[in-house]
Amino acid sequence: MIFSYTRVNSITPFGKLSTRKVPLVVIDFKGKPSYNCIIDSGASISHMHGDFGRCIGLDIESGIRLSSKGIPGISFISYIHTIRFKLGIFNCKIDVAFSDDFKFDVGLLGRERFFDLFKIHFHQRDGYFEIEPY
Amino acid sequence: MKKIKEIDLTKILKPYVNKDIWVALNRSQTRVLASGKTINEVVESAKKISNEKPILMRTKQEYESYAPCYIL
Repeated sequence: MIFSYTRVNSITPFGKLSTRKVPLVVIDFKGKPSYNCIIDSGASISHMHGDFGRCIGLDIESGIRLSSKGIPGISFISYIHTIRFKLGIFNCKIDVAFSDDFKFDVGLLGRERFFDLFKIHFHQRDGYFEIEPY
Repeated sequence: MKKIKEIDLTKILKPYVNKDIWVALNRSQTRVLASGKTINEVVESAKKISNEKPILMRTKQEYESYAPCYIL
């Protein structure tokens, strides 16, 4: 299945507004709002905001507690839950770390479980990427 | 490969840049249906405007690059 890249705003560390194109997908939940997520091969596990987890009916703090760490070395507490959603025509079941301290604008679909479900081909210069089930 | 059209969120999200809020987009991601501090108020406001299932995202990110790993 082919998806187009999405152009988003980005604030540089020096406060300058720029734009960049990112591999965003919309993930769908039965009877709940959808969520924009980036395909992030740099993330070891998928991450989403705690508020979104509550929105789809999860009791966030009941999940397995872990400490997540980003590139700047800042750690934050998150809780793992197994969730099911639809990505285009594909049904997915993956583990996601939810946190109220997650400071990203969209969810991250990381390597663990998600990259075991799909072969992902990036064609950034041509503005598209392809997700193919194993 | 035929060139496919890029989705462009820059114009519709420009008024919200650097605001730490949630937004609900329509399915084609061409319009902001609602915005607000809490996800519940955004979802409720979006329902009043459209029957479409909204797509949620936040508008502020603190890091340009972010590659979380985890320590159990």
